[in-house]
Amino acid sequence: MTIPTKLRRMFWASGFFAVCLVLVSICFPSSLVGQNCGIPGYTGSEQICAPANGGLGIVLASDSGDRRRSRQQKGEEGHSGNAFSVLGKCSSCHLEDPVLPEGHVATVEMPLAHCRTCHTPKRPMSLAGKMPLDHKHALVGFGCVACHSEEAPFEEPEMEVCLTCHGTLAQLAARTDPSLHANPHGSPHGAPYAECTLCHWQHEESEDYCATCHDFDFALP
Amino acid sequence: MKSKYMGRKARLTRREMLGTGALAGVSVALAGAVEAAPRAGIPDSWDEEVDVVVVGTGFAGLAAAIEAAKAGASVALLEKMRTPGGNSIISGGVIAAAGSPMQAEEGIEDSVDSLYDDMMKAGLHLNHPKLARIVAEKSVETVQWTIDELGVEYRGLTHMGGHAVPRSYSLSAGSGSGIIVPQLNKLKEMGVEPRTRTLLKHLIRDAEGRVVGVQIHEKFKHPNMDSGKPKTIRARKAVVMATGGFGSDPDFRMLQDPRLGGDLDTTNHPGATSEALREAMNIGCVLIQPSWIQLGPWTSPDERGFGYAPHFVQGVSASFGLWIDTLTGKRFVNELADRKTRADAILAAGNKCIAMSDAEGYAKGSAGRPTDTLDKMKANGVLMEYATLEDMAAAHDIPLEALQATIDTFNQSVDAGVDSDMKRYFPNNVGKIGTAPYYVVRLSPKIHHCMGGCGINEKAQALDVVTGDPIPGLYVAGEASGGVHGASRLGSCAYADCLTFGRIAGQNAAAEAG
Ligand SMILES: Cc1cc2nc3c(=O)[nH]c(=O)nc-3n(C[C@H](O)[C@H](O)[C@H](O)COP(=O)(O)OP(=O)(O)OC[C@H]3O[C@@H](n4cnc5c(N)ncnc54)[C@H](O)[C@@H]3O)c2cc1C
Repeated sequence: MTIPTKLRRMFWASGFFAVCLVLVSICFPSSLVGQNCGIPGYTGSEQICAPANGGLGIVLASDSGDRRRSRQQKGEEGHSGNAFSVLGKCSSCHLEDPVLPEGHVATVEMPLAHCRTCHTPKRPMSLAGKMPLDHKHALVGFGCVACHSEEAPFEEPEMEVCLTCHGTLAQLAARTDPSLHANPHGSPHGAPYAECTLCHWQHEESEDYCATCHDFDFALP
Repeated sequence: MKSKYMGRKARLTRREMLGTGALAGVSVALAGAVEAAPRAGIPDSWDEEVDVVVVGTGFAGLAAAIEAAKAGASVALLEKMRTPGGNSIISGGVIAAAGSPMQAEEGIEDSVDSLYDDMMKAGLHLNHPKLARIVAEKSVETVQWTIDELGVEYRGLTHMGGHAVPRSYSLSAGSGSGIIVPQLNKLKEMGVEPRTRTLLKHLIRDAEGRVVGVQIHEKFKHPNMDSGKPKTIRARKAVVMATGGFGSDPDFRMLQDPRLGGDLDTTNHPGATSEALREAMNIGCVLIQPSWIQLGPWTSPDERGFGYAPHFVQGVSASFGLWIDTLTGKRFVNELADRKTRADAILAAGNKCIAMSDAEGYAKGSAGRPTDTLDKMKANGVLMEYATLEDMAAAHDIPLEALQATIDTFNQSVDAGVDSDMKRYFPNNVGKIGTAPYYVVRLSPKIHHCMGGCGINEKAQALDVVTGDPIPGLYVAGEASGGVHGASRLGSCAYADCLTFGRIAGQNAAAEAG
């Protein structure tokens, strides 16, 4: 099942700040700790699953409305206020825009792990490339401040921030699909070509940088 | 809307831009040339001030930045792409050094003159002799600098086409990252980090003709030339332009050589475009020899870019195998000739040639390489394996008898120790061809190197188009400069050129009065 192009485009166009509205409650759901962070192929220990800022991830509050607390986001338009909603409730940001194909099961309160029951990674229905990565992070409980500072300006985080959860580059390379004839996480072009943000973008569609020169065609998240 | 698929479609986009570019040129001409080439004035106030601005993070830019920082200058190091390294970081990993310690170990006699002669011969003597000689003279010093100051590691010597003897140091890393990464590390130690996604938009020249700073775009998004936020940086001492070649710019390529248009593939990184050179011309630099654009003879139509093919075609087949014209079953060129000779020969033969080797040749030519290279090349579809010579001939429509005769002649040459057919250099361990399986890579030359660029003097100072004198405050080094290589660059000589002149530029820039 592919989401029709038009819908996908609308989905992407909704952009970064929209998602921030959804990311507002604070507690770190204990249910996620010890699972696999929802990261495809991720099999690391639960310790490295904690967000970089010391265990406080902004999460979409799904489990308990009571424990939900809103964080007043300061600054830019679309980034403020309490207009948050529940996990997986697309309409809280996308409003009337249909972002899911007709007939899709209700996603309200659905964490990424549940999405993956159908959308198995590396299978035809994988979500790779179909949803901004910030959405995926949100669906496993990682909001803006998991990677960014709490105050503007919200700069691109250092790569260490990504590696805190995703493991070292060597670990990533080892976990990458061994059937690929080139390992995108172990490029012969050295460390600069292993910068996460060379390919994996959060608030825009990711880009296979290798494909600017090679025919590798990696399906990247 | 966001920059969807920007990199992926970059080639196409540029090709599309070709059309609109030509149209824009027409309308600009009608509207008046002043609009077309606006020069940046001196800003009322600068956003930032440093001693030396270095543009480009390939070998040349990083070498310049290292030398300038070492001399105590403050450095702003700019790079328009998301990642540093340009063509350098993706390059093949060999650097020429004539009369080197490694040659001495292997008992290979060599000299500066010999390298210089090879460069001049390949360059059809269009090389600017003083510049070429500097590269040859400093080649050993430059390699030694990478070892002593950067900790670069090499795994052995390679014999590159057009060189009289094996004299090219091969990086252990297998690609230019083996120098770029240590260069970046060195700079980090010195407190200089590349500012990626920072485009050089304008060079700013004052009334006295001195280059006094730059206008840049921060948060630039390749290839959108209007993207990013303008900002000015004053260069108290000088600007070093090390922005590389224009191999990925079909528009500019075609201006210089109308045959080399958008349909041709290139080995270059997507950022190898001409805007910095155009700006250099805009402020009065003189562009020299830009029509000499080199095609690499060792690439394959079965993959994009540089890819895997050269490892086999150059590393294996050129020394231990044969290049065959599939129409005739014969060799058509000395497989170790310079690039221009070989690329021209492939094209003249109708672009239907292959590089082949037998199993023993493969083993010899790939010694020291990662053992999975063969599997990767096969999986990628670029290298084909055949159990017999008959299978190979059938698969590529080669007349079998002629092919067999070619191989017999070659094997006799191996016995005799002299290549009777093409006078190719034989390494000590060259062997007869005959052990199955046989390997084949199809050949199709691709745009590889721009010999032309800004005219410079021996100090790497850019020359003024009107006076021919150096432009104060502006240095150009690396592939962005012209003259060192004349009509055709020899393999492994670009590293030597870029690092040598990058260092010269950085030293001289830092020595300017601030
Ligand atoms: C695939 C390949 C293999 C090669 N193998 C070898 C080899 O083994 N041996 C050898 O000697 N030579 C080799 N070469 C050639 C050699 O690598 C290059 O000539 C050399 O790396 C050029 O270095 P440079 O510093 O001049 O430019 P580059 O390394 O290309 O760096 C220039 C940088 O400037 C940046 N830039 C450009 N315009 C702007 C702007 N307007 N604003 C800001 N930044 C800008 C670019 O993005 C780029 O990062 C190879 C080339 C290629 C493409």
